[in-house]
Amino acid sequence: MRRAARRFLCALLIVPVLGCAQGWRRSAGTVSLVGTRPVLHQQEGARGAAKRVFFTVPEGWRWCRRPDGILLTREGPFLQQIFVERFTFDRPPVDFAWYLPPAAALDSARQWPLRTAKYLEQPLTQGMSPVELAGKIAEGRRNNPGVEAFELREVAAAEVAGRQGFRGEVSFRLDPTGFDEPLLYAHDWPSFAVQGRKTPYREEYVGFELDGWIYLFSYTAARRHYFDRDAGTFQAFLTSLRLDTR
Amino acid sequence: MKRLRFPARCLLALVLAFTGCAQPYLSDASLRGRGDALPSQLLAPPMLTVYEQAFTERAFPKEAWSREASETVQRAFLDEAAARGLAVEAIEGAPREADDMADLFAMVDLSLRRHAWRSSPEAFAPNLSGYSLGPAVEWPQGQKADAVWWIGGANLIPTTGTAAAETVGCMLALAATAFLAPIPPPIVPKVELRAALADRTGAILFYCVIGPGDLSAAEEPFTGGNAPRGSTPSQDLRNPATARLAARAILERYRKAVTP
Repeated sequence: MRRAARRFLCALLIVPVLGCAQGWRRSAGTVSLVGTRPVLHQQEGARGAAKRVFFTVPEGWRWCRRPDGILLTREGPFLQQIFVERFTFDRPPVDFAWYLPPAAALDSARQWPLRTAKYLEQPLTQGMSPVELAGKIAEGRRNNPGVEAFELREVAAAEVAGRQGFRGEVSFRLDPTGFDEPLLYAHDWPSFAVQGRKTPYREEYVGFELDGWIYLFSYTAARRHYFDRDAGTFQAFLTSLRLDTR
Repeated sequence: MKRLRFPARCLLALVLAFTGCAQPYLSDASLRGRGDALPSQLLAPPMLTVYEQAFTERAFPKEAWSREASETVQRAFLDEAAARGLAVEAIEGAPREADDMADLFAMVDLSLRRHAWRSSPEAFAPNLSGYSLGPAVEWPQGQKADAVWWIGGANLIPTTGTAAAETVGCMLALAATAFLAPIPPPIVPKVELRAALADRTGAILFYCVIGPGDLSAAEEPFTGGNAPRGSTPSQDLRNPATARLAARAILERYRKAVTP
């Protein structure tokens, strides 16, 4: 009985330490969003696999994996972030309300409220022009429950990672009261206690469509000070993008 | 000295692994010995949210309580600063630039608390490098300022039922600890204040987090002002005595940061 109790207590120590090790990573260099097996696209009735995407983590930045993509940041996702994601035209969006334990090690990655696929204006159809796709993504941002004072600044065709794609730019304010978030969980503070301020953000996103998948790379930062400061980092990040087309 | 039993040693190791050493404040290295170089300081309106803590572990923000707590903390901070010989003035009016900076401070505060404060499970590095409110183009109404104080935080006021439930929970946890295994009492911390000092470029020079334990420590006798003594401090920031203790805790940490 004592041996079992000791093992249990040791597990209580080891699991949180391992969990923290799975949180934000600091490794510089090349990281990739792995490819997938072919999935059936209902619209076309054909199968398409997502390709592996390689990119270089900017110096001094950290990153973590979420079920819907890879999030990179320097001072925290609520100040600036680059998000790498992809989704199909017709697949149900990933809902990761329950993230990998322990949640505390990646609270801010989970709590960043904007979700692309979940709030996209449907339907998306294959054969849409890049500018139309950019417009749909912008409308999806507007649909996010925590977004206020939304403004569409620009949508245009653009070359991304050597492919014909799109770019867009939007601005908005985050309203913390719009989130579906429990205010208290055990022994911790209200998770989004920002004193009712609605911080203004700017976002620039680029992407392209390939084999029924939309690849999206977005840079979101607080409008004051941070967006301009790290805009160059995002441009350098885009030049590091490589797609594994095998 | 009595050796700790194995379960107690494990619990102690667990606590140390998560909390690390006490971290009273974060400060920029340039601040040490520079207290005189920031002679005139402004205080932005404190941004506090007061919640009513319900029995179901949910909290409901109260706007009127929040306004009252913010005003009380502002008065207490200015009084405490004056007692310590610091020239701190409140920002006059509601200038747009201050409003803009306050919007950004909400997220800088959130990020510092999550990613720079050592006890946070997702801390990156315990320093202030990179955190900024952006340079102020002009200070409100021509006020001179070498630096601006920004204060944010939250305060939970439990309902009577919740307070009773927490008391019962504490007693049960104590009993379980005595006879079974260590169990933490089911009490949510009631107050947390976070203060930052930013210079004219917007760079954060100083940051600290004040919790319930810091309010008790701030009760130590002080030679200036009306120091409440000998009583258990309440954790309601609408109480002027509590607000004064919180201001004292912040400025005491600042004094240590600037002392050469």
